[in-house]
Amino acid sequence: MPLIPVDDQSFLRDKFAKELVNPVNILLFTQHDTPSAIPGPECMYCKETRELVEEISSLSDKINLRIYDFVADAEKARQMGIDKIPAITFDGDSGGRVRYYGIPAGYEFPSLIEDIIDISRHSTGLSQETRESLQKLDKDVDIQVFVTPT
Amino acid sequence: MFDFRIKREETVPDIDREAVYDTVILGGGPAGLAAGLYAARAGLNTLVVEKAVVGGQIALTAFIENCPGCIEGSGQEFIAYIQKQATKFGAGIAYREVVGVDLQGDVKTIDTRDGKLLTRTVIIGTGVSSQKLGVPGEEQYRGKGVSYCSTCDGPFYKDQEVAVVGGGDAAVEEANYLTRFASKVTIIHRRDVLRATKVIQDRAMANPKIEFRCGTVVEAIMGNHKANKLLIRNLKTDQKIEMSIGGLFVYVGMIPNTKLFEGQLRLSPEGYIITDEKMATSVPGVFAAGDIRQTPLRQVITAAADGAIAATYADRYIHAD
Repeated sequence: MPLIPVDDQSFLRDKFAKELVNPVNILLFTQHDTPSAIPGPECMYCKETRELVEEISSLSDKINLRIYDFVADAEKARQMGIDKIPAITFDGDSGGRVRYYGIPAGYEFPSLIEDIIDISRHSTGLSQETRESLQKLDKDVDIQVFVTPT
Repeated sequence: MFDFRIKREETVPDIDREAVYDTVILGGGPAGLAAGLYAARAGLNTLVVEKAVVGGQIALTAFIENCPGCIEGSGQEFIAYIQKQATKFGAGIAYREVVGVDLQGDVKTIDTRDGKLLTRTVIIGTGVSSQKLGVPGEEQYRGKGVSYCSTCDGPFYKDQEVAVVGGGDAAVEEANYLTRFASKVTIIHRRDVLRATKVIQDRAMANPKIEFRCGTVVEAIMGNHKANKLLIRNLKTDQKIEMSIGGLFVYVGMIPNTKLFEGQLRLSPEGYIITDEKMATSVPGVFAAGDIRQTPLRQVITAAADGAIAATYADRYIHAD
């Protein structure tokens, strides 16, 4: 059974067809399917996250998925600034980098879909005013958003 | 166990800052979205402004079964459907936080975090927020074992023992829902009898995972990096005991989100907006709908009805001359 309900799959397929402009590469850092092959604790929700991004990427030709093993591809993880799994990030020319840790379920799922579209369109929801004031920053800022809908 | 549904339509237009809207609706719960549906269908240039996610309180409800004509389902499904109806008729939905309002005059100003909006009428559907318990440890452990939303946080407590504080419909209904995840749910209620509707109570009584501690209050929430213990007091015997918990869910009532309107609108002593039967507030062109209003019943059906009335009379207000 798919994780994304069939109705929502067709909604997303249409939405992606209409709204995606440039290709989006999703990079998933996860764990090998047989956790016993890797020392350390088993990754919670890696399996489900992998299934989810596989389903998302099947909904548009513009979405490509690359799967990396957090241990075997440690160098790639370091390059992309990934320090925990499951991690979803995007490889593209949009200039910024979004790293999504954990499973994007519930309210986080539409946010992930919006991220994919924003990345494909090289756009964000920021107003001109906000962009201008952000341009005044003179130091690097690391923004981490911890989300709960309560 | 996980939910991967698309709950909000991505039909958000950019706010038109030059325009004077016919109506700006504050809040995207059942009241606001129903008002949006009616206003847009009446041909008004309509914008619903929502701070976070559409749905309001009902989106945090696991299961709705008393909404006439609605197919039984989750609050999120229900809201997605009203949203679809509202946007179908052209209501815009903008995700912005409102930081101030000026409700006087023929053109009202709504200040959002990134700019002002002008409108001829305002429909306020900002709803209510969860009341806090007000005990030591509550703020410290909020989001670290203390939650106000079982739909949001219930799955974190798989196979753990949790407590629910409260005895009304919300508390008992959500305790039922939590038994899907938790190994045991203890309902702590200060009165001797629950206030919840009988059908909801019966379901809880029949649920082997639910225990009751009536006549008991929570005095403090304790833990280390996460809440793991409650200090509870039996009101009859005055006996205090510590109770181990995996998490605590608080359902002890609601407080109105009317801070923005203090000094501009007539409010009840509890802070709810006072309206007439046309949902008109004390300021011409400003209407209120749903849980925010002083009203004898706060339900999805009454909120949506209020929204319909408010939008209808906003339309009449605009076309009065």
